[in-house]
Amino acid sequence: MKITLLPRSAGRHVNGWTMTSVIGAAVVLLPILYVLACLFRPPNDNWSKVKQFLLTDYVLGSAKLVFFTGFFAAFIGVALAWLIVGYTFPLRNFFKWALVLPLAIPPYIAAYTYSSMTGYTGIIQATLRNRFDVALPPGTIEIMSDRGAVFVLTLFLFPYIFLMTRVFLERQSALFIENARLLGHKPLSVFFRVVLPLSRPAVIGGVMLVVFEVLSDYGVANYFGVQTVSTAIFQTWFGMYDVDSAMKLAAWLMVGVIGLFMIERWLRRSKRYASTTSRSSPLRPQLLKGLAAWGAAAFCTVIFLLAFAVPIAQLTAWSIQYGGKIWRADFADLIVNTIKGAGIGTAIILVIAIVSSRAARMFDSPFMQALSRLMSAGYSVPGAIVAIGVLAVFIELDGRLAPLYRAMGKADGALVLSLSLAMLLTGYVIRFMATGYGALEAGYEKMPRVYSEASRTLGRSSLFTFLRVELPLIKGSLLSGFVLTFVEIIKELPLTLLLRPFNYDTLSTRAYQYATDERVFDAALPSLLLVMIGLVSVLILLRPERR
Amino acid sequence: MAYVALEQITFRFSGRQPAVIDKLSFTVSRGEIVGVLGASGSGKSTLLRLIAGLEMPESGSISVDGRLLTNERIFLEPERRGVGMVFQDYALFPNMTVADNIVFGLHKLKRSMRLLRLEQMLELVQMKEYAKRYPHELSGGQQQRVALARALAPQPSVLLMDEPFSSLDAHLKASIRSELRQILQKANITCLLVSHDQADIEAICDRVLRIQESGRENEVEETAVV
Amino acid sequence: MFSKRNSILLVVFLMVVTLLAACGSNNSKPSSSGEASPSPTQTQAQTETPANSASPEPSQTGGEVNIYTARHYDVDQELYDAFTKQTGIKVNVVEGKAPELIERIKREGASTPADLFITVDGGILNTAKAEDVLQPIVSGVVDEQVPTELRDTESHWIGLSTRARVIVYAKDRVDPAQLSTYEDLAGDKWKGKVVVRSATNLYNQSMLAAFIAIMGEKEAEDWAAGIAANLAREPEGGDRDQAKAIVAGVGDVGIMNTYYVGQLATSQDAEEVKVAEQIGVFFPNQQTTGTHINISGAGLIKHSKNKDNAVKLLEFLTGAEAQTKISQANFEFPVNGQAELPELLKSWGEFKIQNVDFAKYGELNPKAVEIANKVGWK
Repeated sequence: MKITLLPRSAGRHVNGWTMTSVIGAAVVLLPILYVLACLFRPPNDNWSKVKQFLLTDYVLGSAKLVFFTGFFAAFIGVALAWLIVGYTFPLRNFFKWALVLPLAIPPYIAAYTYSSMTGYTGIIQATLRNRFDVALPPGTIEIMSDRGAVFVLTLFLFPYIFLMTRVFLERQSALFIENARLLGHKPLSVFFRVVLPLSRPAVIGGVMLVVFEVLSDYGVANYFGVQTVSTAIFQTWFGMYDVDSAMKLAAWLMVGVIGLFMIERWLRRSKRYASTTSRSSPLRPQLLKGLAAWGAAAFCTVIFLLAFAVPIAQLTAWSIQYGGKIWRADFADLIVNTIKGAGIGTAIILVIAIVSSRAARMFDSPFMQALSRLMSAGYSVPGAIVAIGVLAVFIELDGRLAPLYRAMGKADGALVLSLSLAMLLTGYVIRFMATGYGALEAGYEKMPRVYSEASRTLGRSSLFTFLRVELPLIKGSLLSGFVLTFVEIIKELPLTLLLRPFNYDTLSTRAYQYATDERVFDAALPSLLLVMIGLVSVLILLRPERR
Repeated sequence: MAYVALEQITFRFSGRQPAVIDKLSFTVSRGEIVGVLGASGSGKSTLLRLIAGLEMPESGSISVDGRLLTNERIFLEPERRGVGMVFQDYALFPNMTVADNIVFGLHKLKRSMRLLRLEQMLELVQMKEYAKRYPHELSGGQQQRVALARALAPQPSVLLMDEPFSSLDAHLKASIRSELRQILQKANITCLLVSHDQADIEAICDRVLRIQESGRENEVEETAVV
Repeated sequence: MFSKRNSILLVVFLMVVTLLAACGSNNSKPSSSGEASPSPTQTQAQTETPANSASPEPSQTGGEVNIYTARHYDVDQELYDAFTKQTGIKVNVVEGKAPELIERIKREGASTPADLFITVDGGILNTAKAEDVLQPIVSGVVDEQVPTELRDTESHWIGLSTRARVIVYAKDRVDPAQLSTYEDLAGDKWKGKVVVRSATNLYNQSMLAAFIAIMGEKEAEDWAAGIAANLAREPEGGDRDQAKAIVAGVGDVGIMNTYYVGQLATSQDAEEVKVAEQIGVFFPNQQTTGTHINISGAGLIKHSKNKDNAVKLLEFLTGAEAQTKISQANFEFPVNGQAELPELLKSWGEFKIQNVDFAKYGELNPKAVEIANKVGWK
């Protein structure tokens, strides 16, 4: 019979669950702290040139993208969410889940797809010339610009805001909105005075997500020639062979990100919209008639076409036309690598996430709360920065472990960890821990504590309770956490580009490689495959809604 | 003879808040059914959670049948205490049948013993025909009985019941109350029952502990119930 | 101190992490025996063995050679396959961007599995040499097939093909008589009429580096400033997009690599072929300093484990047959004088090239980048 005889709290708090949380947080934080530390390192010569000529451009570039994308994505996301939740109109049930589908398409793939489509030899202008004898003046559709980047990023990131707002409104809003309606408010008034303020936390959360995605983006900005801090990091690192300056850029970007966090904090400060009744019935949508109904349907259709149907159609057309030529023996390997990397990464993330969210639940102390916050910090760090940090840490590690390697008979200066899949997986864990953790945290929140307590009063250990009582009950969240994280990883680009071991190409890196080699048609097939995999995952996630 | 003994128990939810339970002491004899009565927020549910090990007291000690469950130095995890609990909403595992729920705490027994015990419990609460049903198929009263059987099956030293009647209709309550008292006496179990409803307690318990509002040293009134 | 159960949890977790690290390192295979065994994810010769044979021994027929290449043309794979067919040596290919590949080779150090480093820019080849990752290529055959000016002075790398960076113009709007030199393009008469890709691209940087070597920093900077001032639009897209922009009327003249012209002309997209038909090609500076060329080449890795096989591959790639293929399929200029050019290239005839050591492309690259940033050539 074991009795914990230690200082009682210590005995309770120091166990496998909490230790895993601590390790998880440490793994996530170490590279980030390493990057931040570069702020204090003395700059080299190149840095002054970078600062003088380029820094302002880069920062402005990133800022512009963030601002405009955030704004438009919020506008579209919230408007659509409200339309879908509050009203009935033709095809509304279809759009309810279909408008989430653009999440399966990585923005950089959309970037080159649209770029080619709208280019001089693309289908739009070619058709106009050949069929209708219309020559568009040059510069009408200027997609390779920061406006184009905003266009692409908005269309393929708004689903985050859409989804979060839609879910929030579905669950929490009925009482308030029905009240407002009963009190005679017109629809627009209801929207601006009730819906918008009410959904503020969800919208802010969604916008922050989008902002971080934009900051992290490398593919779209690079392809369109937009100068952002993210592209600058790549350029400095590889174009100028200056890792140190790249890290300095990364560090400054981190400062910006922390600033954003503080802004978000401030925005959310007093609005603790804890729902007073957890049993609110869902909102009854109002029926739209006539022009309004068709208007709503048209709006949804346009967005759906632009953000999903059109790019998919073009990719499919290209794949059919040019795909056979480039199918190489290693395409199967690409698919395997993509799924393998994302699968293992997701599994690791979920294991850490589930253990940590459970620990946070078991010990609701400020320490555990802080730990979970820290673990999710990686999401706000752009992939390129995570890559630099991880690389630096791993090389350090390899250096420290050199005696061990020598003992194992490897050549001097061998880099075992730095060249391994483990490095890439660590990068994924840092970057996407938040996704898995968020899903599981939500799942645990929905599960009443009593079940675990009942199990333990019936004599079952903590571990058994976890495996046989809690896990079955949070299955749903586990699944959605898996799918969400999986899709994020397969779409990821900059981190994969930088940290992948050799002989390791994924569909995303291959598609990007072809696209930037001006082989856009050849990029179509790997892109389509990538989107298909993402689609399958997203559809699995949306299954309950499609019934 | 004190079967359950609480000595100077103090508990607060966080460092800055006033103590919910302040230097409370009382004892329960073996086989007694004791009711704990008090307004909402008076800490009565917390009291049960402390005995079960689901919360840790700031100071004081708890022992059952001479065994120390917690004091300044020691804290025994819930699974080691042999204290059974029936929760307010019964907390039957929704993905398990009635039978699976009941045998959940019987892992230490041999398989044959487990089945025997299951039979006994089903007989005790008269739910034999429902063994293969799932909790969502049962009525409130039936769920309560299953929860009771589940808690009693591992033969706990003490049974704790947290507001057992709060989810039941009024007209059910009367019949269930007397049934419950019979079951408890038949099982010869030491029981601590929490409720805000005096009538419930008086119908079942041998003795009542009245907990005053928090903030001051809790006064405990004991009244014998006829 | 930990209960047994919790300790097990912790240990299992650590084991999983270590296992993954070990699995991962198997993929990149720094092995003490010095042999690199290919992973199933590498491209393998299609004729000899099925694509996913498990662990072939290097002592198999012919052995193997590992290439890190920044060349991404289809014709390359065909050549590697042909090589394997001929010699039985398996070719394992790792593709990537040149700077990344150099970075990796450096970090891999002595345990690198790489034998050859192939890339498309003379500057990068020189950088590789400067970073001390290459060794001299000793081969009489190669010496015969590749002229000295298209090789590194110490034979650390050899050229495989060259490409010229020429002026292209709109056939319907520009009379080639108006064109003469690169310098002319920076003059006032072409204001608002020039399209060229971004200065962040290596081809432009090498070109600018060459100008610095020829004209000196000041003049090169003036030239870059002139070009930047004459741009019809902010640089966007690649070389082919410049051709399309000219046809679309955005600009009248542009700068691009010769092989892109060939690729456009033979594209599967009818629209792109139309574009190729409407642009003309002009080789500038024929009366003065010559047209700028760049070189695509291969270097032998210092710590190569399959040196002989690597040299054999180089001999193959610089042989007349392979050279003809590269030229015909990709519209690049061969290094081997015996190779047969495609029609398009023949039609351009002989032209005078710049007399600049390719090493300068690498040495002067940082300066070129600095100048481009300074004059605002984005």
